[in-house]
Amino acid sequence: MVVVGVGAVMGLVIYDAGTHDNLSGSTTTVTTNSTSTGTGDLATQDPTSSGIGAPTLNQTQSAPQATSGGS
Amino acid sequence: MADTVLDDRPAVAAEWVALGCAVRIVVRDPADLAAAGSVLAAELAAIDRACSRFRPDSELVGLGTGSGRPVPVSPLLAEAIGAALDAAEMTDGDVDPTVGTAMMAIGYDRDFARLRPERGVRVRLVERGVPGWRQVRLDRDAFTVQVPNGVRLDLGATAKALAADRAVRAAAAGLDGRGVLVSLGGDIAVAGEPLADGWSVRVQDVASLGDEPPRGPSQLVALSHGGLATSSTSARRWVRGGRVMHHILDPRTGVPVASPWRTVSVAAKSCLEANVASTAAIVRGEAAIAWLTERGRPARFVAVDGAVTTLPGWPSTES
Repeated sequence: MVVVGVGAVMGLVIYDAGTHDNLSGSTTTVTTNSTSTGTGDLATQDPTSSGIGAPTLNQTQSAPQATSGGS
Repeated sequence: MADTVLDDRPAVAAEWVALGCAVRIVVRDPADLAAAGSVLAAELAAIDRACSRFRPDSELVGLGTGSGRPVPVSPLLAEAIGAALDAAEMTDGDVDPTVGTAMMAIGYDRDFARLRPERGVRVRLVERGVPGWRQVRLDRDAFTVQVPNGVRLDLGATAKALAADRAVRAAAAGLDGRGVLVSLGGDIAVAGEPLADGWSVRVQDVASLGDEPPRGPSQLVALSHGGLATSSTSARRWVRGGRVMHHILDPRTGVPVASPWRTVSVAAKSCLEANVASTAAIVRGEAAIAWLTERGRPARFVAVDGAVTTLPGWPSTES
């Protein structure tokens, strides 16, 4: 683990996500009554909606680089 | 190809706490981390000075409860108030920045980490709609804002995501377009060239740091551009007047919303749009399914009982 000097008050800690795997966990772990209405990997491309430009999400098996949850 | 070489390198990350939440930045090249981290730290400091509800020296606190007259503000606070008003318009008022006084009334009057459990305090909570975003006048060219007497702004629903977008754009620009991910309390913005398969993000009820396992259902998704945000009533909970509170208010009642959803995640072309949509979906309840579907937003809903529903554009839970 290497401490770098980006913002002394914050004490940033660098680690190699590929080897330390700090956020790794199970992959798809939806466990309760999943009722997907999704169609897979394609984002809707309705040019009349404000959703244009919405990113395409894909399923992945890679160890996560971040978590998205309430905070 | 340069891409092939870069993709062989592991991503590197740094994390710390700011704005009352976990901050995380991830870059593809270890040599980029210090510069990108500096950009993010500077952005967070600026947003905190402008928009904090808890810093006595912040610009927002300086506005107080409104004077009814136009008041000059910095370009950054003007942008943040503009983003909050845009969010209110986009959501028909489901996300409203005039909830400041209501937030204080339910006990969220200091940094969340400093809230203390009540001991024998009896409080009668009165449901009362907030003043409403249409009463706020912002001049985006002159950088003035007019807040009615007695109205206190709270930019908590939008400022964090706005900061993520601003920081990730600035960081990627400074890295000549090499990829960056910024997460502010689980509100995620990415920019620049992503990892080969996209940035892997674990979606869950409550954002976590390091090795903390997720509580409740979770899913791994890969994001290549834009933003991904999650709003949840499972986070930031406390007790007030004998009632369990959370931080997502229904502007029509001024108290925490009783939603059929405990968690909603949305992907959009920016973190701000994603966060506005996910927060509004919690407030909007069942109707949010049609609302987000019509707008082409990839989204994932977790009901109070843990049942998961995904909308078109969100990957199937089956591998």
